[in-house]
Amino acid sequence: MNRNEFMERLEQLLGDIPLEERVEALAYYNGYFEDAGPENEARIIRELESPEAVAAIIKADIGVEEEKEYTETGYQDTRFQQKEAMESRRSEGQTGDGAEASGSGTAGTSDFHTAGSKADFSRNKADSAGSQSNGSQDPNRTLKIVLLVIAAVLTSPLWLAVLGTLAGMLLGVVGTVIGILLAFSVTVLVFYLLGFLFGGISVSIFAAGGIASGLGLLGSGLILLALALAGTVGCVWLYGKFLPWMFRGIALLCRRLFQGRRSAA
Amino acid sequence: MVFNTGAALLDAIVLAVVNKEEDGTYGYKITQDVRRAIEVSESTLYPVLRRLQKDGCLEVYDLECGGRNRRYYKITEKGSVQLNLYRTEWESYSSKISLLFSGEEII
Repeated sequence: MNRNEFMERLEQLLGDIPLEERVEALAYYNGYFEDAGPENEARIIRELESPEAVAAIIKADIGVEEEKEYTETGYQDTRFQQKEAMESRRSEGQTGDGAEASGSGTAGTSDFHTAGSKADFSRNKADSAGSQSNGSQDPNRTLKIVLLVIAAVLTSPLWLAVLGTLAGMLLGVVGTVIGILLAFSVTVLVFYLLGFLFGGISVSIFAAGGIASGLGLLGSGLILLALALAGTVGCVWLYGKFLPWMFRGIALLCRRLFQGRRSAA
Repeated sequence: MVFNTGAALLDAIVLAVVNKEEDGTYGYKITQDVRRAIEVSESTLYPVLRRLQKDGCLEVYDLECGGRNRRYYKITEKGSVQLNLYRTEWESYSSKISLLFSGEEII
């Protein structure tokens, strides 16, 4: 790409900015090439990276100017839009790189991006030297926080009661579950004991000659043992899976609850 | 360079460079002069110059040179005031940082 091609492409790319800006920018770069002399032409084209990159930088700066003049939303908004503008500028610059991509060239642009963003940042600050737009936000936020805290304190009887009730209910549920679990375990234990006991008694009944009652007793003893074994499996599942799951759930609930309160405050 | 040159510093450097030439100076020369102090890409300075011009810190005039008009930039009254502000700020900023780097106490 030579100088003429570069300037033509730049003119195309600047087609959508105000005429005055376009004329100024093109005159500047034309003069720049003139002053640099033909011997520096190639070097300058290389350092400028691409017409796309140059156009993006010019447009980004104009965009910022307009933002400053026409919006009244203030400081943060402008900065946000600048960020967006920068992003788009960056991507435009990168697509433009393609033809003569060079490591140092890309580093150069990103350097400019940082400088540019800080430029706009501090410029805005300087413009609002009275720092109304800059300063007004902090007191506002503090005021909001103070009001929220006051509201929280005033309504504390209500939400404390609700919170207490909820905590009580949760504790009740947990207690009930643990009680049921314990009762279940004890029942299983008792079944084991009764099963063995019945077995033992049936043996002594057999020895005494009472086959019918001995068999009956042995049968019920075996049934009890079978139930106890099934209960054991249930116990293992309950203690190993259900309890940890329940505690995790409670922990999660608490965390959510506290996080919610913190973000509300 | 390790340190980024922020916009205010870039403005200050450009103002200082233009201020050196009583009759004003032009884009290519400004870029070369600035690049003797810091690394900037060729495309960095146009927006800076344009902005300083719009802000009234620089004024421009065209002067014939070699059969064409060359655009010259000259510092304005407002630009001088701004440059002095930058100088004072830089003085205090850089001396504090230097002091910090030297390991002495900041008074």
